[in-house]
Amino acid sequence: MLQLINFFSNNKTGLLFVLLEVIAFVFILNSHSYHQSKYLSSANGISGSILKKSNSINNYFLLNNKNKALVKENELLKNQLEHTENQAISSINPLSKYKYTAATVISNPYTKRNNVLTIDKGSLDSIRPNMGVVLTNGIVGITLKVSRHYATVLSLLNNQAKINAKMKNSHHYGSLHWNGKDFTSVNLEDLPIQANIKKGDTIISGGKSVIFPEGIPIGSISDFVIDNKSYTNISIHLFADFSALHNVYVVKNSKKEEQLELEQNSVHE
Amino acid sequence: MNSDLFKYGILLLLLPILQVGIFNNIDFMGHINPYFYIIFVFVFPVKNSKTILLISSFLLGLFIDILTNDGGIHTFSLVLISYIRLPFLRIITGKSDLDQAQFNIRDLSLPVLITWITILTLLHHFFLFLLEQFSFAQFGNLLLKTLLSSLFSIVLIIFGLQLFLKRRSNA
Repeated sequence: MLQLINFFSNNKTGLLFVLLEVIAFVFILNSHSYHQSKYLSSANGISGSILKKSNSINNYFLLNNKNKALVKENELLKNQLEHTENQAISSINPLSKYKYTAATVISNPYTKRNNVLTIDKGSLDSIRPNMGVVLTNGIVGITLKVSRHYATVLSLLNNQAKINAKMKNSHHYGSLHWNGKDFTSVNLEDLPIQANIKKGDTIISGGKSVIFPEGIPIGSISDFVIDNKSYTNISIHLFADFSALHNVYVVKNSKKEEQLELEQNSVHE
Repeated sequence: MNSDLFKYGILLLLLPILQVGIFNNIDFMGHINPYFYIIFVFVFPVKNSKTILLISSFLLGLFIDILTNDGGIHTFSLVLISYIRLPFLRIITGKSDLDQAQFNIRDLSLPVLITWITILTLLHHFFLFLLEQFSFAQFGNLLLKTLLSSLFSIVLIIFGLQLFLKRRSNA
């Protein structure tokens, strides 16, 4: 022990080196837990504004593509409106529990193993942690940390994300999980063998969580393997292009607390 | 010394902005990005104290990590190569008694400079990607990513070094 102390007192840089590396390693471990520190994430004001600036420069060069994507989305929404005109229009129904806030993605890594996005809306726009972030053709993720003007989003392309989904044509549920290889596809896990699936079937959001509304299209089955009477490796080709996320919608479920409280109380009795 | 402190302080703030604003958006072949900011470790004068280098590397890495939500992977890898940069230089040049006060990066011959940068860049990128995926699974993929990304970084760093050194020798 004395030798160790002697070694370090003769070698102060070495000691500092070890100390700094230990601190860095603690930060890494922290980032792997769901409750990461707000100040070390890009939700803080300074890095938010730097990211926003750099995003606005990049946007300038991508305007053309974004316009095309928006036109496409408009078209889709118009078509949906056509279809629902004669039915009860749930999306404009004042009693509908979901409210949408448009936001812009200002930082969008999609090539890492664990991706975290940053959006330009925060607590001032009544964004809170654990809200869903969606597109008209997909699920983006769940808000993590929120500052006044910015929020970080745990992407679907993250090891910690497990999002409830179901088959469009039956009521069989599974959960989506990304294997880290390819940002155009995710895996559907825990789907019961009773679900009769084939390639090309559409997967939609399940609505079993309080975070996402039911029925948002997510992707289609591109491949699956049946092994020992259960599905393994169902890959879902995502409809949304995660390499070009720009305009997204944050979903606020106004009856979330009510539902959670009820469920909690029922468990305690 | 004071003007040095100012110069490298500016560099400390400028490099993260360059990295996040430009180099992280290249996405060559889908996911290959250069990590240009490690040029800091190569241009930081040898005559200055190691302690200052370690602390500035730590801060630089931390800025990058905060901007990219990467936890501490850039901090860890950068502090690592800034600690081992001199030992490696001694091995490559074959001089065990490097005169730190007189030493100047401009005196290095190009092959020595390139070897030094290549080894440290490869090490930095390897640790960066290893800590990012946090497992030894897909090891081949990890090595490939390290190689491709390093190649990109090394070319940019050598190019950037020429600019940096030329500009200062004229001044």
